[in-house]
Amino acid sequence: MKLMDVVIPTGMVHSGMNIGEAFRECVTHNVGGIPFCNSDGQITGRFSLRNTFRQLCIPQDMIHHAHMLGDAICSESTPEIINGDMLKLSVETFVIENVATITPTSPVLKALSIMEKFNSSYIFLLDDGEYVGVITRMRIASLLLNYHKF
Amino acid sequence: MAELPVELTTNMFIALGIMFAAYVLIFSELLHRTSAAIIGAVVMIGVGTYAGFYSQDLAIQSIDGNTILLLTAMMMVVAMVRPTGGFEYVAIVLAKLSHGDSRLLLIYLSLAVSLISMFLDNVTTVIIFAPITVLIARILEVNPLPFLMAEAMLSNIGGAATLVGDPPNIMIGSAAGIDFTRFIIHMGPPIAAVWACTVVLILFLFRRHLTKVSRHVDLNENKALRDPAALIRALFVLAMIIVLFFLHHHMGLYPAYVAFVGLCVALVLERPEPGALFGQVNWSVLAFFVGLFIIVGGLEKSGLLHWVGLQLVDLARDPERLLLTGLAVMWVSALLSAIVDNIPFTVTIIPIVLGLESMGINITPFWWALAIGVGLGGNGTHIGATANLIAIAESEQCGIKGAAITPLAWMKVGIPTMFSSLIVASLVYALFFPFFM
Repeated sequence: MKLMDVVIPTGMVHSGMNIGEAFRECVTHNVGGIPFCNSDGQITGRFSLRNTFRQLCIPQDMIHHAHMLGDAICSESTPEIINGDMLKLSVETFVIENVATITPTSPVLKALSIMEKFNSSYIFLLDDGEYVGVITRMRIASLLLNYHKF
Repeated sequence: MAELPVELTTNMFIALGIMFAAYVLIFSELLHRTSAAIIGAVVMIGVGTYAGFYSQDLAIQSIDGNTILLLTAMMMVVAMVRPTGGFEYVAIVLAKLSHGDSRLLLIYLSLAVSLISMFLDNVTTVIIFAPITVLIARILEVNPLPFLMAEAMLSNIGGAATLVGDPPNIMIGSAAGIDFTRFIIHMGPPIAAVWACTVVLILFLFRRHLTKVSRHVDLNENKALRDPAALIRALFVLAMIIVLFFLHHHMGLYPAYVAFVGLCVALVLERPEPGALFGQVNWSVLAFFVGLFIIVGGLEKSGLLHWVGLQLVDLARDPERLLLTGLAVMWVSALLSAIVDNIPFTVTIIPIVLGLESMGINITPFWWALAIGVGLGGNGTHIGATANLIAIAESEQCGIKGAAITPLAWMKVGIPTMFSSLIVASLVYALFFPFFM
């Protein structure tokens, strides 16, 4: 199995985009995050669904005590979700600087190891510095099932 | 023992210069306080050895092993209690008992934090209670600010009541040979009076925030308990340690040793994974204390602290002025503790007080005054105690509108609280002065 077989080509997030547009790109391609590029087209960070939700509407105290929460809290504590205001915000505030990348010649095991190390469900594939797409665990598992006709 | 000089010498100035430089680094936070203390200690040993007033052996002797080991053992015990979820369980039960009455909630949470802080590290107590308090306030749709401030302040006050509640108390008890029982008997009454007055004052100052709400605390306390059996074992060990603290002087044992006895029982019962257990110990704090002990040890061996004692001896010798001197110690300690870290201050002042004893002065009232002062002074400003900084960090992180505690907001409540506490403590101290002698 080669990484080029499992890559999901996506667009990138750039300065000036809002969260709604970034969400649309992630949802369309069923990935948890996409790269953020600067005006020179260089990847300088990443936009992550998980990080955006965490920064916008899941306070640390709620995450820490999530196992004790009842059902009455969620909707009332996150008005940003109800009124959709969060979708209009600029993505730049939510960009994470650390980016895990891999090249097409790397083995799948390396991609899985890096995802594990960075506690992430995806990694970006770069070919000679050019962005190709996203590698996800889900996609690797899907291809494995197809390959073995399981 | 070498005769200490009665006049100022070059060595004294050298030692003072090193200590001053180290303390500037600590208080200015140009370097992390532990790094600054380690650098200061290494320089003090090196320069002191070259100048002839200090040595590696003397530096090792200056480290208070009882303080360091007691803190280490208690940190490990807390590391085993914390994951059980017992503290969160208590907070949720108390929140439900308050039935939406914010004033009752504040009293209940403050009482719980104070009682726990009497026996466990108050910083850890606030670290655990602050996030669950914010969540409870979020659910009740009330501002968490009064609760966070009250918890930090009353945790500091609760910790002042016992020998093990606050690191300065451990140092004072260790240096003065005061056992756990004697400490709580003397500190308990003034601290109880201070506690009650502080709660009333906080309720008054936050009266507009503390309303009755109709919402109910939608949290499941049973799910807070991750391992009820582990909690029972941890409570058994804690109870055993507390009983041993009350008995340690009868058995001729150091508080640190009885804490380690409890730790051994916990290690057998819990069988924790060593990496996780040792990872929970705050080595940075321990290294900071070791560094301070070595720095102040150098200052002491240079003869400077003895010289300072000589300057104070006339004031302290007069029995008529003993009460006044005790009150001065209390207020100066409190005011300094409000603006600088109370640990370096306590470590520095202890040898001076001990030096007065060697000059034939009854220093017992000064120990209590010092313990009250450093214990209560921390409430004055946001930087006065580590627990305050934790409450502030939690208030800033929570993202609730109007919840962030600014330094000014802290001082608006902290300064009246500190002064009222000191006035109450001074009254108790003065009215029952023979008891503190």
